[in-house]
Amino acid sequence: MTEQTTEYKVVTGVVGDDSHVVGIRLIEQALEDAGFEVVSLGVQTPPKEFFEAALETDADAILVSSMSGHAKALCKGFRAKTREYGLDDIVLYLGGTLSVGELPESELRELYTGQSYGFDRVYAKDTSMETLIKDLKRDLAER
Amino acid sequence: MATADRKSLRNSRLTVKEFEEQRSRVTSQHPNGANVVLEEGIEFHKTHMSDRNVVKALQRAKKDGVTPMNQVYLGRATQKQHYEALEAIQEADVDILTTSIDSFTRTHDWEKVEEELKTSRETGRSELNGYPIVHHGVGDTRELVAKLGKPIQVRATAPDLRLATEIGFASGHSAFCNNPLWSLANYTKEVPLHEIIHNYQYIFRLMAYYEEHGVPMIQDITSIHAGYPVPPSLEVATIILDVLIAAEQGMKHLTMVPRAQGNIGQLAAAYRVLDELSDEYLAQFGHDDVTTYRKTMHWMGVWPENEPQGYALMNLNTVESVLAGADWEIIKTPVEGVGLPYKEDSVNAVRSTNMVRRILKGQGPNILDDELIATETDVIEQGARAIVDKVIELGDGDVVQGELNAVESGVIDVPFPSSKELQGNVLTARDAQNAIRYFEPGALPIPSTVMEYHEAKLDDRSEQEGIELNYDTIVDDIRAFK
Repeated sequence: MTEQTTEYKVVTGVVGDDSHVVGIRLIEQALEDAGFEVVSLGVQTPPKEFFEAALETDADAILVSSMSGHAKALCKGFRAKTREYGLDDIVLYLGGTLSVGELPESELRELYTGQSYGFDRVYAKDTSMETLIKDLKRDLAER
Repeated sequence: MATADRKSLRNSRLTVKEFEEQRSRVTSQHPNGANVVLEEGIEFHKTHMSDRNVVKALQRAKKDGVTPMNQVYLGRATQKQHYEALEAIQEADVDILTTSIDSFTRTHDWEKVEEELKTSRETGRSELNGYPIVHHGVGDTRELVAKLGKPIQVRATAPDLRLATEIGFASGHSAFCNNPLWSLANYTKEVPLHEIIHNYQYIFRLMAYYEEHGVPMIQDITSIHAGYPVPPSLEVATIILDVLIAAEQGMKHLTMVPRAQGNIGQLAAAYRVLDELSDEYLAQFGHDDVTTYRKTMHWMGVWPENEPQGYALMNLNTVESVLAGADWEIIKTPVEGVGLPYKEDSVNAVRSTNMVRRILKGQGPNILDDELIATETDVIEQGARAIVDKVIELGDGDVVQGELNAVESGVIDVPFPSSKELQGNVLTARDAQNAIRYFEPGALPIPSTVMEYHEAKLDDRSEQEGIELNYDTIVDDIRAFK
């Protein structure tokens, strides 16, 4: 691959009632190191602020972190809402502790990539920064 | 005073009038606030005081030499789910029961609480990450506490838990777990410190009110952190400062809570400095009748993703608590890195750490009394004292104004904070013995001799591992232990 800056813009944040901050900070650092422009919303961010920020900054992707176990309640209709904001081809990722009590990763992935949530990728297990960045670059290039 | 005011807020006791005015606003935050009657709460506590009071249990455990007492994080959505989980860990012989409050309640999102409770009832699974105490209210919660036999603590981190604690205490909980600097560093983005302190002064005053009416109440004062390791001098300093704010409101029993971070000697040294400095600064501010206790929390960073390693870390943390001389510990479960624990996971955690405590009974902390710990104690004390004194100076003798000014100028700071008010310029790293050191102290007023000690320890690690410490190696330290 030839060397190039990605020029991609990504909105990051921790959704809703959740304040687990360290993970998303590390992801932001890794994304910046990989050449992404990061719009960081920090912890306790209501879903609509993700959409507003993406619209305002013309972002290519939204990365949502949720460690509280409440993603099911907080992210319902996420994809549908992005359409309301005219964010038609935006890439949506969700990662963290995605249920209260342990559920199999496959079940979680099915739930959150399904129609009622509409995320493109779901990371319910520890994932390396390399994997995340590789996935993101590929998904953005294939859009 | 209607709301908190940055300029006029002081470390002074709320007057009866201020408390009552604020109380009428607090109890109208939710319809269930109307049912909180302090006198009824006090009466209820007194019915089973010796069995059910946390302070009494702690004093008994210390007298009998069976410290640390233990406790596990626990909260379920419905009353039935919460009761069954508590009953199970009570049977597994936990010392102190817990009501952890869900994070929708912590952020006053009553609507989401109702939706998720409904789902929890339908599915039979808890869809909330804790017990929504405000929704359930005093009557139902008191009924639940009455059916159980052991003392119980109510737990949550958030900027405004005034109504949640009103309901918690009135329904029989005799301990709580939070303080301003901890809430600022790890549970808010927007709420300013002066508002948080204002809310906590109310909770401390409320607990003192119970104490003054014959119900001992105990409060955990936890070190500043956002889940990332910090050196004990910063932990000690921030605990001492918030201890002074709680004591000013009339609290008599406080635990001081540094974290088990992997190096037993460092925790033992931290406790020695905490004991010394809390006595000294409490006396300096005229509080000579406050008793402090040593509590610890298990590792707050990233946990291993598999159960066997989870067991190892959990039990190591309990070994740390015992050998460092803790009076009380709150444990994690072996599935911490997998997901939120089921009832069975909590029961397994209690059984496993109970066995460690039984085996190590009586072994801490004197077996650790050597030169290395004496040096560590000295270094922690110098660092902590420098921070505390600078904060008091920045407030012209007032601890509240001192904290507010110190946060603004970075004299209080922490790695990766959740709050915008903290600068986040401090970076920390492990040394070769897994003790936590300052890599970059930011604007913390750490004396240069202390920094030299920290730097030398980190240089040792670089040399031993043949690596240069940089941002990537620091980031790796958030993982338990490789």
